[in-house]
Amino acid sequence: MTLRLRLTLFYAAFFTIVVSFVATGVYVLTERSLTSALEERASQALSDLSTGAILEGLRKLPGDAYYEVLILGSGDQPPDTLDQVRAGVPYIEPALFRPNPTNHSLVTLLADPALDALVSDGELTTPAILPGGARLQVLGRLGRLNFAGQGVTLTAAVFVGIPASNVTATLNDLARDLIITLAFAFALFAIGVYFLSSRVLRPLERVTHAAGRVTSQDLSQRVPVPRSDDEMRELAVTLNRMLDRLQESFETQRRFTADASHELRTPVTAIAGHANYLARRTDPTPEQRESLAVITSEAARMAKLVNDLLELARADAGFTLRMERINLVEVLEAAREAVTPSDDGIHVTLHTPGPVLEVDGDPARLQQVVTNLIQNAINAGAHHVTLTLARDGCVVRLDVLDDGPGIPSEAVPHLFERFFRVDGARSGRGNGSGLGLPIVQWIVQQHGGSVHVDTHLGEGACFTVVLPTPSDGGDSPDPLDVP
Amino acid sequence: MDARPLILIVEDEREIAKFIDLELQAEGYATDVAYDGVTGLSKFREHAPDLIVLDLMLPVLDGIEVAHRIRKTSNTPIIILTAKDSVDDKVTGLDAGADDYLVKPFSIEELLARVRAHLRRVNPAVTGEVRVADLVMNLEGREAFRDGRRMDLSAKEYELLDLFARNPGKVFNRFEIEEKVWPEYTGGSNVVDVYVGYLRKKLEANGERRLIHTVRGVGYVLRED
Repeated sequence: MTLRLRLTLFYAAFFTIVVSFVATGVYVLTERSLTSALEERASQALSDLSTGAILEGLRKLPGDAYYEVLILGSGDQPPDTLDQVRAGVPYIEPALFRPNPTNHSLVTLLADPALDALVSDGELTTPAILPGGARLQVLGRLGRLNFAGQGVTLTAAVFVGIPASNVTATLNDLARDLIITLAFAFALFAIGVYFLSSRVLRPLERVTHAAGRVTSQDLSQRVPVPRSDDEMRELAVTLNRMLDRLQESFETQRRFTADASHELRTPVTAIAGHANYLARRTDPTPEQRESLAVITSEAARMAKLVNDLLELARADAGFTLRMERINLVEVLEAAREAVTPSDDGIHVTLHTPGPVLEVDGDPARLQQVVTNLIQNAINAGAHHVTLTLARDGCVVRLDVLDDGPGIPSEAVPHLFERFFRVDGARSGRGNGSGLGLPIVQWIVQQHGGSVHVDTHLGEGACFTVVLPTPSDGGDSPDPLDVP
Repeated sequence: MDARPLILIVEDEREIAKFIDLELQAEGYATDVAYDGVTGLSKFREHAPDLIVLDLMLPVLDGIEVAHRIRKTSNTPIIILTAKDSVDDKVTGLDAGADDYLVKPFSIEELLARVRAHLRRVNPAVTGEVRVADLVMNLEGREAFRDGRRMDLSAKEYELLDLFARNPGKVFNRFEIEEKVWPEYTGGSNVVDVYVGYLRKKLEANGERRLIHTVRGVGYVLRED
């Protein structure tokens, strides 16, 4: 999961929790205020009841309220017990009786403590539930009914039920709205955070991108330092400082290699020169001649190593080759000649499509590629090396096939690493430095080409060099100058 | 008076100067050795050597400067020896007036061959070379010079130029050339045209006049216009 996604989810979740608290608060407060508003109106209406104006009071009740009036007795003797209340007779008169939908007397819904309050205080307010499950708020008052015409006064209990369905519906709507709003807010917030975090993380992406361009070949790349004075800037500055030190140490190492191999050239030249002089210009005994031959060949080997090291140091320094139009066929012939005479029993066969196949390249360097590949095969124990040159679409392919012991598959990924040498059979005759193939790879890459190997243990190896053909196709001299 | 050619070796690495000295003496040359640029320059003025082998990195006065000062007054061939081998160094050396360039570690046979070639160039009486106009072919060292400038030729380029230079004015058709220079391939390619192109590029690198001409409908010829 990316940092961006994690940030988004984290912030959105936190935001949702906070907003949920707010929404719950709104819901509870709304519920309370709605309920109390209803009660307020009801009790306002009922306050008249106790003063005897029952009819007027009932008329002020909300249209959906239920009510019933129980006659408890004559005179204005208030009831002493709740049983008296329960035994009251409903006054069935349209103005005084509006039954609830289930036709249950409101009194039967009330619990004893609530009725006790009515008996003792003359009023009650309590929630109740109809058998169908509908919730209502029940208010009760004791009062008197005066029948003015007949001079009769009756003690009565008035019960009013205010259905909560109104409130419930409102609250349900509110809850639904709140949830929808919350969902929208979450989505909006998440999108907002996602884009904002991309803004915040963009410098980080740039840093990552720039850091990705830094390789051992090119340590000159630096991370862009954002203008803002924040953690991002600190990261970029720290990274750049680290890269400076890294480049410095790579540079020191490269310079050391270059200087060391450079310094070694003079003594190597002197050793080889003097040994050569003794062998050629004096008359040494066979033993002395043998000893001189060892000095000469070891000096030659050292000279090659020194040259290879210098070549790689130069490659690391970003040295570029000088390209010219050349005939690759002749390069192969020259490479074959350079290797074969010194190795008895070695056959190098050359297959080319004709006497000319042009590429843009550095002839000496390309000859080194071929020489190194042939020498590599011979060092591995091959007796027959076949060079096959072919044009393949818009590239030139050179296959260097040998009949050596092949390369174990676990060694293949390391073949082009410096100083890597295959253990066992492959280095049996080896006097290679482990620098030949890295140099091959560097030169080929400098030519815009690639090199790879196909090998199976026991079946030889085939190195393939692919080079681009010149942009104009090559092999075609100025037509006006052709006889 | 010593009739042997005198070669001045200017090289600060005594071990290297020593074996070059020994080898040149064994070849029958008279030698003189200087270990720094200033001594080298004064020995040059004193003894007027026939050829100078000059190291590039010298104390006091470096090889480039020595070559530069010698060139002001003399045409004596200069072969530069150095451990540097980047293209820029080579160009600087040749621009300063050096005639040739060898990179350490070099093979002594190569140095001896170059010495022979350059001595012959200044002394035309010696055989083993072909001259046409300002083109000089050193047959032994398989080297070619135009106007004193050594050209870096591949084996086939040398063979082709050799064929033309030995027969100036003779028109060769493609078939004849292919048979002589590329006997291993049977016709049907434009290898001759391609290589004439290469040779012209190298022969005319400094804007010199054309030597190998196209004879329309026939082939190619080397001649001086």
